[in-house]
Amino acid sequence: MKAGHVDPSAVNAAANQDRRRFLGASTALVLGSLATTEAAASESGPQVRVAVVGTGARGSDLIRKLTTIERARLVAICDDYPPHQLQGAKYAGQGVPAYDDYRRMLEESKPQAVVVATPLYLHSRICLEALEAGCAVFCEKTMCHSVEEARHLADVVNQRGAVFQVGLQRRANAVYRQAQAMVETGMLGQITAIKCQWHRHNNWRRPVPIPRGERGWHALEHRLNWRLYQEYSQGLMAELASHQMDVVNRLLGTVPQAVLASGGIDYWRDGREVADNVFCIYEYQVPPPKQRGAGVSESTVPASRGDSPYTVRVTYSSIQNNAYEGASELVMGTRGSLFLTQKKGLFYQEAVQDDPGWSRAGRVDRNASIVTSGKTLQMANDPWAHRGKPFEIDTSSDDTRDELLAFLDSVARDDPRTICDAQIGLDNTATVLMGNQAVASGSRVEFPRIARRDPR
Amino acid sequence: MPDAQHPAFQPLRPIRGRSIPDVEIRDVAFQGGKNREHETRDGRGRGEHQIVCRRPAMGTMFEFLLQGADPEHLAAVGEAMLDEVTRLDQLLSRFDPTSEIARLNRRAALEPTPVDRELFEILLDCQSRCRQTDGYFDVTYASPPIGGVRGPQGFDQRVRLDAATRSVFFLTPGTLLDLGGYGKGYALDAASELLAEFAVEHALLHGGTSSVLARGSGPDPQGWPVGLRGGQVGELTLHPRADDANDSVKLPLRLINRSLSSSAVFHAGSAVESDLVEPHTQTPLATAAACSVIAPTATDAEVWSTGLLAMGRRRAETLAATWLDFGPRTPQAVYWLQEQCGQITCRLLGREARP
Repeated sequence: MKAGHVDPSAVNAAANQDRRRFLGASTALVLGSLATTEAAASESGPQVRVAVVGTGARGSDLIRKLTTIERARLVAICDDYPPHQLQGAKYAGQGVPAYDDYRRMLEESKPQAVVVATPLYLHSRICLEALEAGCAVFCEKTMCHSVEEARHLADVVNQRGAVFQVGLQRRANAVYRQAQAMVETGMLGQITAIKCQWHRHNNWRRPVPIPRGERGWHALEHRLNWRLYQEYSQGLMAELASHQMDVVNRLLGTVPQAVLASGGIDYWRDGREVADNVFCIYEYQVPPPKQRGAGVSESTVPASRGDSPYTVRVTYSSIQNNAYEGASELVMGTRGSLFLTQKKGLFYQEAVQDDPGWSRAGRVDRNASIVTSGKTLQMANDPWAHRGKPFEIDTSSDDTRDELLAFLDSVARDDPRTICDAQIGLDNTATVLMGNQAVASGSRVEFPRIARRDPR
Repeated sequence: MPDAQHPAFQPLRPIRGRSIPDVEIRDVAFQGGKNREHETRDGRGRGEHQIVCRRPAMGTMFEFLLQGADPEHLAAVGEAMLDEVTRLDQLLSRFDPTSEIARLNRRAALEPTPVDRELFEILLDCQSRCRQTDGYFDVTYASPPIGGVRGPQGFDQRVRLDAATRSVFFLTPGTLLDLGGYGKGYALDAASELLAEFAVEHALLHGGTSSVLARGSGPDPQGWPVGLRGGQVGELTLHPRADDANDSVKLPLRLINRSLSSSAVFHAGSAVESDLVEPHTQTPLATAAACSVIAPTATDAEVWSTGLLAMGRRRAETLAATWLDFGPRTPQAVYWLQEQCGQITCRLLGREARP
């Protein structure tokens, strides 16, 4: 909706009406647990010849998913670590040639599409050569090990008009699609803060098949535990935060302006080089609600500030010795809170001035007693009172399989507008790496100039 | 580890119904109620350590005890094993709508649905296990009855597996695959493969204490001590509702490179209800009884303890007495526990000729 030549108050009123209608309709839809739609892309269609480079844990996951999709025809797999190659070959099945050199694989198997699931430091090189060979590319997140690599890769993809997708699978996840729709239609009101975390309880260390200290251990340790060493990895920010910061970029519709951060190796002091815990505060400049279309809460936005961009702060933390609330994002708006995980979303309505609690659906009895007894204070003092009964968002499909389906669909149609293109990959790489830079420098870091869409 | 000497210290106790029978793993002080943790303790061997790691999966708790020289290595292997269990849970869970089994349960009645090689192998195995046990181990047990059909209603009547397209097709609408029990055994076996790959010689693994897998002998050359609670070999009787003090291990067993699984139907009113069904009549099993099987793999033990229990003692006894040739899958011992006149009897139904 454009507000340019129309009386703003009229627009507001119209927006308000639209929103109410939507809320009414969508509330009915959401009530009683909403099962979101199945995969966006079609199961059937012309076959695509796919090769997979990197057949460790993630690569094997992708091979297994590809073998459940009829339109994917696996033509080759590649890994230069024999046990991983064997594992990949087992899942790919007999008759799929296995290579240890991706260049030879590209030359001999002539795939239409290449899936890159190698350690991070190899992404850029392999993606560029696959593009050079005329292939479409699916590159696991994070897109690149450095912002410079990501900028170059994105430019090459654009110049070639290639089909390129980054493996940020929440882009294909129905819970997050629904979340985006709810944000865009104003169900959360104005978003004022987001809290993201990926908290786990493990050492992030993979076993090495020969005892420590024996000949060859060091090389294998670096190969298998590449995530722990700076030469190959960008640590927790690249491996975990990338998924969640992409959700934030998507929901806020922009990239962060700056970040403050702290982190270190404080618990798992086992020779690793990347932080075992990080804490970041990102700052986003978000356009004023009116410019972002209909439906954003009115009465809760102070009138004097309603027209200028405002700052949303986003906290991100990742720790590895406590798994409370796991991997999740909490999107906080003036009208409600949206708690998101890969398999479920929960929407808690906020008690706001123009929305007295007793008018809310499903809470008539409970609140009627509050009204008659006048004991609202009791509820307000309860730290859980604002939560109420959440609306649930469910998904019934696997997002990794869905992102592959969407990719194959783009390849078959030769459509470069994938669900997570190189520009998104570049934004994401820059977003997470500025976090690492802030940890390293101990000072406020701005969004890197070379990653900007219009570098000034 | 918490400081047990501290005046405010109180040990956490597992919140779990005490019911019989159950496999108790001795020699390990399990502490429930926590999400997961690693513990390191001195093993009995020289320079040996033991670590315990655990994670909830498949509707229960998986717990692994690993023994070896390098605790950091053991922790990494344990973590990889737990990740493997989580992966299989996401593949096989009927209750997780994003799992492959859930996808099959939604789609396979509409059209032949391709699955990955691993799941196809698993389903082929389930098919052959169903035939081997005369239909008494059946992963389609939860499906509604096929209308207007007399005669057997099992895996073969409900599911068609096509090897050429690696696809699964449900012949009758409403068919439901439930690999709950099978999955637990399969997950333990898969986790145990990682022990071999990463050279851990001694370990004891269990899923929900009803399935146990032993690798090596543990600290004692005689084997990992594992016991059945509430029964004893032969016809010795016990008090069914004995308190903890009396309800100690009644059937002491030693496991070396073997698996043990227990399936049970509890009496009416028991805190734990069984979801076992007689697959031919689709009625829940009613007689309180339990069947414990020692077998070469956890999958074997799981399949046979379920299948034998479902077929009832008489059939199980006949089968165990004349072990058909199932090759390496043949159970090594079968124990039957049953309640009679308010007391529990435990009996060895069959044992392999050559131990």
